[in-house]
Amino acid sequence: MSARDAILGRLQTALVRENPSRPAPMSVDDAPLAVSERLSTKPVSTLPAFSEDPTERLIRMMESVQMTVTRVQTSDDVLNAVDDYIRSEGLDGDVTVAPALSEIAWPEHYRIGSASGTEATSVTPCLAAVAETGSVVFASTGDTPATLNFLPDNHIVVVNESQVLRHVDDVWTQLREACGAHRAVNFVTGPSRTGDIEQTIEIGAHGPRRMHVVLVSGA
Amino acid sequence: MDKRPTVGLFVTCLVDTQRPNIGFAAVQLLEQAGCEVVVPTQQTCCGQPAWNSGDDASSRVLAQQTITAFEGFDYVVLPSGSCAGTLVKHYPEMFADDPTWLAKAGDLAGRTHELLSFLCDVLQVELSPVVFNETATYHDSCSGLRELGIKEQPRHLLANTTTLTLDEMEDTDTCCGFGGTFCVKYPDISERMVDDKLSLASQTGARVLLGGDLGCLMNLAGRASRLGLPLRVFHTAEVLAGMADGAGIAGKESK
Amino acid sequence: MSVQVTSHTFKQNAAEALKDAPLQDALGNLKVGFIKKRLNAIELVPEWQRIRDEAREMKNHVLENLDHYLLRYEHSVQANGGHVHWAETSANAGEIIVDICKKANAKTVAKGKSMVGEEAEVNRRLEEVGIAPIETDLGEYIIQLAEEPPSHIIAPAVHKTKEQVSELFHKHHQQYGLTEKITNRVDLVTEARTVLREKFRNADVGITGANFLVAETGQHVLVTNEGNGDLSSNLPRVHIVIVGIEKVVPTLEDASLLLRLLARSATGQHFSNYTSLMGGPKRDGDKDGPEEFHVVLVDNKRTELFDSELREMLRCFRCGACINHCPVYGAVGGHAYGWVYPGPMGSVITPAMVGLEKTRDLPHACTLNGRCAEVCPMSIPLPSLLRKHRRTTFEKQLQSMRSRTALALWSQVARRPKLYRNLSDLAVRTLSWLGRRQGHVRRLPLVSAWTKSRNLPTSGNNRTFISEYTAQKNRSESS
Repeated sequence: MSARDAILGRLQTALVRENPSRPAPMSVDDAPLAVSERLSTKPVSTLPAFSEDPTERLIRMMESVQMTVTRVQTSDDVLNAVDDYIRSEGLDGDVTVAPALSEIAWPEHYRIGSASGTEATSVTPCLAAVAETGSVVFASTGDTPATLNFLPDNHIVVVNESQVLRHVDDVWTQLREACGAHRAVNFVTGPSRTGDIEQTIEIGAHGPRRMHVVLVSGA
Repeated sequence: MDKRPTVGLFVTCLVDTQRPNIGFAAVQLLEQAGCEVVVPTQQTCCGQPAWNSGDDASSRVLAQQTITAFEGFDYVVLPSGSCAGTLVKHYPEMFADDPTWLAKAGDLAGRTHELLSFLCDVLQVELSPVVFNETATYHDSCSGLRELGIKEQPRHLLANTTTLTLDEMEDTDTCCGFGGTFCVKYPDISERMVDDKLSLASQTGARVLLGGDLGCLMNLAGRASRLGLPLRVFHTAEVLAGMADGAGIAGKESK
Repeated sequence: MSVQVTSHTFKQNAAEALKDAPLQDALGNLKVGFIKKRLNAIELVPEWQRIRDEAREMKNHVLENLDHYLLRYEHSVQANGGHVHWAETSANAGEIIVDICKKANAKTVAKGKSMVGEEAEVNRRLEEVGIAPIETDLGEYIIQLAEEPPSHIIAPAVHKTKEQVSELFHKHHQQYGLTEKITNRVDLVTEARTVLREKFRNADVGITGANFLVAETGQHVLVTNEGNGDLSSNLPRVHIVIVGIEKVVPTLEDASLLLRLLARSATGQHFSNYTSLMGGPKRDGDKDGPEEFHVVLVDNKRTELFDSELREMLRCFRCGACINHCPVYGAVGGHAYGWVYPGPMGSVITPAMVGLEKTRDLPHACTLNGRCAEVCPMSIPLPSLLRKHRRTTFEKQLQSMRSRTALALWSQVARRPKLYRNLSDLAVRTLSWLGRRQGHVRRLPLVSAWTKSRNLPTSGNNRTFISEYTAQKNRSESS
């Protein structure tokens, strides 16, 4: 008997003993009603309520985990906002921009592509931002490679206010609408940190040490 | 005319043998509150040590003995959260497969209360004022706290009845390291835990330590006395009854 | 690094731990680092109790249908282009992983923290075939250098002080050009980051655990704060996930339900830094991600737990809250427990996984104070599960002769009220006489474990309460 059948068999033996009328099939198509119902209705549990404006909350939550936020009016302002941030923070080194943002007229020394591992800064769009948690959400595609979220020291994220969702569960809806062919979906909530030395939080363990959000109000 | 409620006092084996003063304080408080108190002599141990050691058969025998000894009282009251927890929470578990005794255990559980929560929540009594001009700190015993929700009741009674000042220690709800047989099976760990607790209690500057479970209090008092700490340890009932005038548990009585 | 079971010497381990000054210093960080942060985080969520109840119900539903959800998860992973492997034992899991690494011609492996990986002793098995596993979680990396097992499930190096970490880096990083001893935390973190970054780049295989498996989508959820799990999953050519079969949840909504509890309970964060959903290898058009994706579903006695009175333990999602709040853990640390899982959850799981005979102390080394159950986000009744192990130790007579005899004697006396009265009166008279001057006894042979560090209070009365009370009653009635 395969390990698979042995493991499933042991579970089923116990379950059938408790409930003799329970079917114990070995096929994914024979799920009991309770299972297929849960998988199709996808019940949402109690969500933490908040009365704050979602964008205001998002910014507050992001700042509480050491992200910084600049608000701009339109997408035309993104270029300057990114460049200003890089200059004002004195971020030396290469910049890589996700291909999804290639339509912006970036300075020539910015590179478009996936992470080389040597750039200091990445600039990426996001799939959504979540007011509940203060997270930005990234979905990997060819135009939005996941490594840009993790390898550079500094990560600049362009968020449109229309992308701000209230709860984590709203992201699920959006992922399903997009027919979720993403290999990776990353919720990032602040720069990388560790508490592994004496339970004291230090920033910049493996991922970015800085996370900056350019929040675009209009189109 | 209201008939006085009858209370069967389950004094617990520790109070019976180690600190009768708590038993007398309990009787005094219950009578003050208008109860008719009876102390059945068939009571011994509630069976908690056996239950916690996994000896289910013995704990069931002791539970049956206790259930029988306390039949017919309006209430059964214990000056201990952990023993009360055994009657209220664990007796029904012991008889999960025995409908006859399960019903009896359920009936007993419904009538059983820890002393301080009984006075405060059930009788909602106003006790006679007591002068006790001391600063005290409080140890919340785990079973009473987590099995029966005893936290505010003793503080409420102390504040309304006595003149003492309560100076709360940090982590009042952390275990003192008694744990029944734990303290003799793992004395080193228990010693560390009781030392941590006493150090928090001492940081308050209070010279009196109160609690509602004699097991914990013996552990705390026994250790404090060994270390020579200037701490008098009492059961809350002793203070409420105005019977906390001596050196406290493990202390030298000045007769 | 290999995980020898030393639970049978728990008492000795604990005695040594209590004398270990750096360990005691390090354990002092738990209170501020975990307990207070958790409380603050929970106070901000008025819905906490409802969310907790819903999580318990959801997970109970999963357990009642665990076979089906595992089938569905397997089906979904395969649809994403991943491979699912089933391992009945921890050894099988280790062998499967070694095989995959060998086929990938792996020289080095980047590992994210995985407690199931510790069960399977993945590192030892890889080293035996000449493959170098590199732990990438900072805490795991520190103890890998120290050649020690983790002492906590979410803070594996919680027992180490900054000075000890500094020593370890000084000793092991000279090969990377480190000459000076680093004394501050920020620089220690940067040093680890620099050295590990190269390891990530060169690793052929990444191995991580998973916090949840989503049956609906075939994705797994991985939560870290450092981002090491994501680097281990995204950079190497091959990604292997090793995970226990109990980690499956039905839908993404069920994953977010648990995520609301997990970070708050574990570290007091409202959400971990990196919460990632991953499933399958690189898609068409992707510029990064692994070419091969494998999941190893591990049983290792979980089906036995399932078919026992301890089934509720399978709701555990390894947040560590019970450990952080356990006063016994706080006194002796994790290594004393002698295997992968310490603290209350470990004292339930370890006997089930490695046998009660070798671990008989664990369920008993607990005061049943109930704080673990109070903080458990999945409402697992840990003390009552520990008591079930105690019942088995009693039934199989695994406890010491001495404690069994004492208990039997006590029970025999207690079930004979008259004998009990006579003996307790005698005991009280004797004790009172012994303690007549001090109000306590300093030494008493039969209870030396008590009197070793405490005085034994004596009542000052010559009789038990019941004798005295009954006598008074009779006097007042006859007068």
